[in-house]
Amino acid sequence: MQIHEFQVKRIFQDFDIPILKGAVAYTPTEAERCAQSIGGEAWYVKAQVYSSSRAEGHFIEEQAGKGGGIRLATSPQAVLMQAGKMLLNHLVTPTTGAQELEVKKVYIEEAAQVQQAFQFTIRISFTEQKIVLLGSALTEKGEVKGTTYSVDLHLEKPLPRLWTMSFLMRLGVPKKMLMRAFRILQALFAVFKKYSAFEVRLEPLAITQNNKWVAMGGTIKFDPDAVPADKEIESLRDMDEESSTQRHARQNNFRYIKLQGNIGCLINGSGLGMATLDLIHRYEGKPACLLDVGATSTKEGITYAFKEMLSEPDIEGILINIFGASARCDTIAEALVSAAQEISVGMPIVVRMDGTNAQIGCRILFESGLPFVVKNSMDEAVACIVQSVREIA
Amino acid sequence: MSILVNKNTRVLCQGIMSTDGLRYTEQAIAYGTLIVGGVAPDHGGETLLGVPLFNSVKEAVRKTKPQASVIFAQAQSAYDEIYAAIKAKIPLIICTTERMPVHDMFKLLPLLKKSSSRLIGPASPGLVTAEECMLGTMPAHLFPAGNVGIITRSGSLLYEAIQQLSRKGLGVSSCVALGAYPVLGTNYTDIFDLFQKDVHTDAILLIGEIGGDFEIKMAQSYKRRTKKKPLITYIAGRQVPSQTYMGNIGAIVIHPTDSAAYKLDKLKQAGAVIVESPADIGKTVHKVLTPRRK
Repeated sequence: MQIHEFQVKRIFQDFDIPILKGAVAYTPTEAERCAQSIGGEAWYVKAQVYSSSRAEGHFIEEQAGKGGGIRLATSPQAVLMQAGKMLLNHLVTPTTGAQELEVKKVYIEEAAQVQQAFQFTIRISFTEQKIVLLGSALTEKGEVKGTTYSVDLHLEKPLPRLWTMSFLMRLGVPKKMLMRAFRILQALFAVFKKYSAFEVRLEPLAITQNNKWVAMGGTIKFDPDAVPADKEIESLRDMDEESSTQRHARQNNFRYIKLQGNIGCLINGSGLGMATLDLIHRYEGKPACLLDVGATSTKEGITYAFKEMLSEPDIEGILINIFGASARCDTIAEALVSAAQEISVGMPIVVRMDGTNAQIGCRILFESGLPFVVKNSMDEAVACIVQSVREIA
Repeated sequence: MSILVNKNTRVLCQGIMSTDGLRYTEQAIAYGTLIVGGVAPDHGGETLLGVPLFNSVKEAVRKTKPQASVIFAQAQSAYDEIYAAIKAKIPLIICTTERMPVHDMFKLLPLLKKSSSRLIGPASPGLVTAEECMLGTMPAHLFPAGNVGIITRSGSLLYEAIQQLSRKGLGVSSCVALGAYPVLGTNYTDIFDLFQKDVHTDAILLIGEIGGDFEIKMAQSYKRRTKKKPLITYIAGRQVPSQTYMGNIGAIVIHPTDSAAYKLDKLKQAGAVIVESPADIGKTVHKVLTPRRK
């Protein structure tokens, strides 16, 4: 799950991490009013989409003009104009790949003069199996300058004062700003713990012209598995940024992964899913998505998931690769049949089922009279679906 | 005899009254596993499936002296269950819980290091010694006994692999699922050592995944060994786009070293036999185990 910059900043504010004045706007006139009420002489208009490099992006539409997803405006009228250019247009950034992100809201933030900038990250290092605080000084362009220093952290202990202070000094933090910086990092660690985060980042944490610390940008990466249990994090979810398939997958406890090809894959278990993708590529096919119905899925849930998949526009063929362990093949077969009966299926569907009640499952598929092609092994099933999809094209 | 567990291993079940706990304890007993007790607060003194119940882990351990415990718990209570098992000094703990918050696991790591317990998991489908003992959620009735030891992170792919083995007339000695999770209590090298010493295991199959460096550590350790059993390995996720969570939070390529290609390369250099296609796992193991004719 991801959240927007403005949401991160609200969290920072709650934890006494200083931020600049800002507000969210959904329309250009609202943006103008925001700028007026914030006050000052210059404002940033920032597209609220899920991408880490919005400034380097560009818009698909010509009327959006040149420039990326973060633009400077020097009057409320200019804020109105820039917001108008961004809102409802589509942004592409170096990290979005081919995906175009529709800008549905902008964040208007006062502009500040920066003296010195740093970047701080608290994150879980999975390779080292520990939690670290990383810090580096930044150049004017926002690039890392010099060495990145690190301090090891422990969840059950406070931020180590001596280590952190000497870490800040080595980074070149001025002496009179040290104590305040330490407090901000303490707060950052509190955010990390409170939200069970994988990573929290201040980028940049800057010293302004009037010698104040301010978190100008920041991100929080959540533990996707801690989110469902935490109502407070869950309430931050932006429903506007989710496709309906993604939403239903989440609500029904499936994992849904969107890919770029034309073969929809319904599988159970992430390992089997990855192996299925590997095999499709070996046969030079292209997977469109991976829907993992997991181990404990119900008939209703699978019926629903499969119907969603049948109505996805990119999909030209479906591969079902199930190894029933705790999930039973007959339950899954019944679900597939009832979904296919409701929606007329105009594409090839190849099924491979093994494990618990596999024979009963296959018989249910045969007897339904629906055009399921049943194969005996993963290899045969993948070869068959790739071939069938190729024949259509 | 095989590794870690056999038909004489005394097993405790934490969370025996949950849906999964009940279902898999029943399957485990049917398989021949020696379940000596179950933990169910407020039900101490009762029996369930013929198994005596206890109010706490501590009490169960005092009265039944288990050598292993299998945990069925919700994500939010897995921490408490593992903590109790470590405190009660149970030698082998298997945690089946999926989606346990990673912060909870990080809080347990220092405790685990100081203790004498071995934790397998979390998110582990379990551990099976063929025809003797099943701990966890594995469909052990589908596992023919044989001489292949399997270490895996994924459950679903393990079942696929065993099916391919059985079609070639092969079977397993023990198989251990470490868990589809980014922070593991036990890793490949620990289990490999046990298989290396086990007289019933002639070859070891490693089924890895993208993400983390567990497979790389295995490669380094395998390379250093002089006397070693053949290691056959498949790593899932060669075609996964980077920065995409593949179903479980451990399986993600962020750094190039997380990728399947990198891991396979390291394992190959260390002398492991590489399986390129997931459809060829059975075939490759069979080839390795069949003595060359002169």
